[in-house]
Amino acid sequence: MHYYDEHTGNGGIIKTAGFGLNNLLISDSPQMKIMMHNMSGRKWRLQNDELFNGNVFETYNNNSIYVSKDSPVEGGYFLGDIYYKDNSGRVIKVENIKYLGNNQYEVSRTYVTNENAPDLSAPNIKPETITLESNWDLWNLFGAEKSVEYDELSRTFVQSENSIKFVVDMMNRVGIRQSDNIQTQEDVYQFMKHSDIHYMPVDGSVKQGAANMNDSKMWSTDNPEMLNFMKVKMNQAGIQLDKEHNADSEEVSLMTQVISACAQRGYTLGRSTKMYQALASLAKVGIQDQYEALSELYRISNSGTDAEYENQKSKFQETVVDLVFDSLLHQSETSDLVSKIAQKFVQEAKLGRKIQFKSDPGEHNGLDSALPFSIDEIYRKTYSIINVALTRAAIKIKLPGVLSILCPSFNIMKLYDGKLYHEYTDPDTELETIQQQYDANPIWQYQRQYDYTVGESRLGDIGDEFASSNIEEGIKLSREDYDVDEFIDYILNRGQFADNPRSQREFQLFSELFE
Amino acid sequence: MAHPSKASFKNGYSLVEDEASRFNAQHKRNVSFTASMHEFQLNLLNGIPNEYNVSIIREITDELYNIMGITDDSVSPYDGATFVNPFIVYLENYSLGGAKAGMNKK
Repeated sequence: MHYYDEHTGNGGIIKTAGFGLNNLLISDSPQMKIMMHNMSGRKWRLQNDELFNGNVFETYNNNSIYVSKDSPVEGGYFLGDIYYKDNSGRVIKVENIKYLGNNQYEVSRTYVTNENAPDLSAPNIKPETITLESNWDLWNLFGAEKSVEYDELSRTFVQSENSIKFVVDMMNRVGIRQSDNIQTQEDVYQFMKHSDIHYMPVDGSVKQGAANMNDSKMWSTDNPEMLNFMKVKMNQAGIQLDKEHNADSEEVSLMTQVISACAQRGYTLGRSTKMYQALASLAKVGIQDQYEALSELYRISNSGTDAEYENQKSKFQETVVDLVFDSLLHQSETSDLVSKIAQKFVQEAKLGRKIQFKSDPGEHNGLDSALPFSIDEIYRKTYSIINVALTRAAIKIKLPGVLSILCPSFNIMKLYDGKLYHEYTDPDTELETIQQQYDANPIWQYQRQYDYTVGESRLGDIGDEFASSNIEEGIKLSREDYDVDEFIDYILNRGQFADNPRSQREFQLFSELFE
Repeated sequence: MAHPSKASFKNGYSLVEDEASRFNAQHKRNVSFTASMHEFQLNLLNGIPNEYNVSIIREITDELYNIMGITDDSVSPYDGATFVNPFIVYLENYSLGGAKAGMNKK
């Protein structure tokens, strides 16, 4: 986003990734609800900055906006069925909204059953008088983050973003006419679009031209009128073509750039070497089939009999053929000849025939099909394919799981012990109990287990114990040259790890990186 | 020269180094002029407003360490992110027409 202010001559650049708040996110983070309030709680204002006073359930064409098909308004606009769940999980439907004047509205609501029928056993809900002065008020009227909608397929109510969508719909339909012929935003002042804070970038994304910066305490200060902001023209703003990333994909790609990044972050030679060793172990996993076949071939060629060698050689060749064949199938770019051969192989494979290694195209020997390595083009291409395939399998190995990064959040985002916040019946009490359990076994203990150095006072309990036991055995240890395997074994077989299968498993996975 | 200088000035202040640093910092971001970008269509009745209220907030930072004992004294978890008003998310997609994206955008 590029912007320029003609009055001050100040220009700016914001390069960022925008994360939209939504009902699901807000329902699982009380802090996100504070942010939502700060962004949308500013009161509606007119062009002259006076506060808006009037009926928002009327379009700029002077048509009513209504919310129940049971009581339609002639010529009016039907916004949609509004459902949300109350704190006890019962579904409430907003039946009618009537303007009383001076931004006051009378709202009628009823309970409905999970099958979307009137709940006759539930008590009547008295009509309530509410004030609507901001998008926040409107969003709350529509159920806020507890918004639900009826799913015809499953015949039940499901989580919904409708409370947001309804506000958006009204933003587009409500306004002060500026012209008789309404075609663009210039012809109608859509005040609901102008009052909110639209973007809340952190300072790092504003590369140039930051103005009216808010202190970091505004992350948790619940007061929309307190936020400083600047106005930015949107005529030089947009999104990149590659417009969306998912941070929570189900695999992690290991890249060599990670090593470079680590080096740039000041990793010592020792630590970088350990990372290379870890990568080598992972690469070995990626090319395990080829690696084992080749190892066996080398071993037998040095010590085994001729028969064993020939037997193993043919197995290795089959492994290579499988690899090349698999690569040919998935190659997007091949020469005509290779492409034709690949097609032939595909046809043969579909017929259930076996494809085997063959060094001389002149000798077919009754094989179903053969990969003629002696043809020059095939030979070169084959080695290229093997090279690429091994690189893909080893260097760019994809691991199931997510990349989790420890980072401070000051309660803005929280983990709730494997559940979402809204899945707790009484989140405050239940989470307090869980927090106490975690506090009894804080994560810094893990750090202390590693953070030992013989001869210094910062010895962690376990590190101290481990170092002492090794000193007795005559092994001198320091933090830089300890034996990782030995230490890991030691930790796994003592105290909390021995009693905690989950910690043990996590630690085991971690230790495998350093095998 | 409006861009903040990131020069280290190891040998004391140098105007040339200062200018070079600012020039470099400013122009490396000119990539966004040439990058393939979908601009928002303005002035649509169902689109975004022509002006945004942008409220910049100071990043939270803290010390961090992991179980290997590696520490970092200023980790910033949101690292250049922007939180977007949920209503604007939808209006932006209307203003992007056929190029509409999901909830999160770059």
